[in-house]
Amino acid sequence: MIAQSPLSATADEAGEDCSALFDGAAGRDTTARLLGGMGQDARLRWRFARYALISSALRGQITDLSLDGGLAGRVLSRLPDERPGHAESRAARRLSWALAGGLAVAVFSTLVVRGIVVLPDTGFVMTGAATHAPTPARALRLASYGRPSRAAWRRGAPAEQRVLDEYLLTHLSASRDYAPVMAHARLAAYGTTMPLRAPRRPARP
Amino acid sequence: MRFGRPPEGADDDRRLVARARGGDRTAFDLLVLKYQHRVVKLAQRYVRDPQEALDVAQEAFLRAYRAIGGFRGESAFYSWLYRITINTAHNHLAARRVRREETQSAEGEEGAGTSLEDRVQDLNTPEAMLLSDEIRRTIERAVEELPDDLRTAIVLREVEGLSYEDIARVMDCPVGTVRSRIFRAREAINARIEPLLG
Repeated sequence: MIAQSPLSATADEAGEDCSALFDGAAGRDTTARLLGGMGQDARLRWRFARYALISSALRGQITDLSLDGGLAGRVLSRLPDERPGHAESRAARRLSWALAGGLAVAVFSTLVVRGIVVLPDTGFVMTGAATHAPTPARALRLASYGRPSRAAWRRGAPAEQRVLDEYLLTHLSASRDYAPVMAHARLAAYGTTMPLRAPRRPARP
Repeated sequence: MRFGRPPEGADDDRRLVARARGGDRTAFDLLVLKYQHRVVKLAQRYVRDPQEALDVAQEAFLRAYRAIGGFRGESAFYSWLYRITINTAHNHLAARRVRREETQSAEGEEGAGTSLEDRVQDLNTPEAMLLSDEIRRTIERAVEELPDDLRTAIVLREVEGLSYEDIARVMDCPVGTVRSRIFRAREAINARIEPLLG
């Protein structure tokens, strides 16, 4: 028969709570109390580590290397100061706002473009870098000099492919500082039969 | 009899994970303590160099901490950590391969014959496995020598992965008794390995 560890009643109680915590069977308050107490009582952390060792050994998952007790300390000392997941959620929030903004612009652009189709003489001048970055439809029409206006990709047609490549380069360079807003606007404008007042030379990237 | 818990325990770490997500570093420290052996063992399956295996394990835990905000608890924490560790090990190996190719192209064919793995200590040598084997054997002997009620409780928990509630049903006793038995079993085993670990 094995002798029990000599523990005081209080230590016994804390040890049993620690054992339950290891198994995920400690209540919320007990968990909070133990976590708070581990800052003051290193023996609790040590005990938790021993339970982990016993558990891993019974599962055949210890190696000499894992007995190097420094790993947890190394990890703890390198944890970033920021709350975990904080940066990620902030980035996700930024992305959500950007997407929402982009969607709003896309809707707005679609409405404007459709309006131009109905009223061909309405002036439509975008300001800024995007003015010189034609949509694929416009790019094709510029290349075809008045041929039928419906945009159509013909894979393998070198002239059209060149214009499309140029469009993409121009578009990427023009919308670089506006992503993802301009991407939405471009998508919305693609495929429309937007009339051109005068052929305009697309900007070089 | 119905058992309300999957064998690996999807929510064993629920409270610690929740607190770690809220910025409690002690809670994350306990998760590291709990899983460091398994993570190192897993890393060693990919990286044999001891220092590199520890580096992979450390990086896996740091990645887990940075990403824990995105862990929704749909799987067990360890399953999630397992995937992170494997990805980290793959990245480490890929980076090492690139470094090795660069080194070999710089050194030319003369220095290309000896790989890093050939030069490092092989962890599978009998000498290197001595302490962990001794601990494992001691723990197994200690479990065998436990009183029946303690042995059944700790085996159902650690080997079978049952929850306290399910163990209580199997042993036909209150959950509080299960909790006490498991603790006493652990303390008894701990007393046996104490001389080995100092």
